[in-house]
Amino acid sequence: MTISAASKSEGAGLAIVNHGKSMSKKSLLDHLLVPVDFSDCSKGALRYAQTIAADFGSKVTVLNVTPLNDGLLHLGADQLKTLDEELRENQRRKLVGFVKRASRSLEPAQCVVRLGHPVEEIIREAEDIGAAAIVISTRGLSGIRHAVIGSTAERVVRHAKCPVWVVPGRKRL
Amino acid sequence: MKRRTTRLNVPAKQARLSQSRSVKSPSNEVHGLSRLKVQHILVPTDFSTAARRALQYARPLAKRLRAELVLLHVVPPLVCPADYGYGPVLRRVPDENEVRAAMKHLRSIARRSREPSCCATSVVRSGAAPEEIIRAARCLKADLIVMGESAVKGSGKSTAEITIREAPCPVLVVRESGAKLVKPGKARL
Repeated sequence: MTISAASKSEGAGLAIVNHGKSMSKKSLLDHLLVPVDFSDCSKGALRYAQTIAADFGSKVTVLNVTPLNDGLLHLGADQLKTLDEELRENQRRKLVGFVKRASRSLEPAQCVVRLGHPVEEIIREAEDIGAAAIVISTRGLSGIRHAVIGSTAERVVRHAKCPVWVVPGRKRL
Repeated sequence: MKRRTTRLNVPAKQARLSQSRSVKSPSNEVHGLSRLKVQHILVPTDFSTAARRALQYARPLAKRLRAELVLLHVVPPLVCPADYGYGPVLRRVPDENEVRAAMKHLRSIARRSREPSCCATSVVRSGAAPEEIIRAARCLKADLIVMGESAVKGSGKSTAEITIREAPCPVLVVRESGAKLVKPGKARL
């Protein structure tokens, strides 16, 4: 009885190996969006996403959303544009460095910087690239700090159209 | 009883599967990356459409990762006032009939799985949903929770939102349908 069960499961395992990238694997998770804020928690999320990507052969897009500073409004419109560009370029450089440091894989990840409200921009980016899933970490704040600051991850879960993979921030992955 | 048999079965199964896994891993080892280690996927369900979507999502995932699916349903307990001589208290008793009905329902769902290779066990717990989900995840040492979330209603927090805050493992939240993109916060510049 046990022998037959063992051979059966081995057969199933071999079938998966032979097929390589099966259909379900391709359609399930082909493109992941990883929003990061340069914290250790988001580093964990990025690593987790890369493990998934290695398993499922998915593309990874790393996104950083920088909130815009309202205090700069008194500047002229054309100056604002150059400032935006400068900020974007800076953040982009920082993001590429962060990804290089955090990731363990050689697979290149696409880096995208957006300016604006984090939750809104994360959801918009996910729709734009047609992400199969968003991989996001929670900060792990608790009590009153959580109530005041709130959790971006929670709001992303609430508003995103695609499945959201929430990675706990406290646990080292 | 049910859960104990599950836990005993798993190591043997994993050992068997590790042979075929070692055949496949070298391509990933090159990058120094470990594979996603997922042995148990917990799927909490309230038998709603969203939960069904989550299960549909979890099944191929479990098959690919060769993980075991654990279906969980949480039954709210019966609350009855009681007095043991030290003042009135509220007793919470598991609703036996509900538990039995839920178990039957879960088993029928588990049996409906088309692929025999992806096996599912059913667990029914009594209590408040988010706490029991987290307790079950700890208890089973679940590596992933896949749960559905129905459309946003009001400002109250959903079970999924409470679970993601406290969960010991990653949580994959699957939506029932695409939520509308509402402005989640203050306006931008």
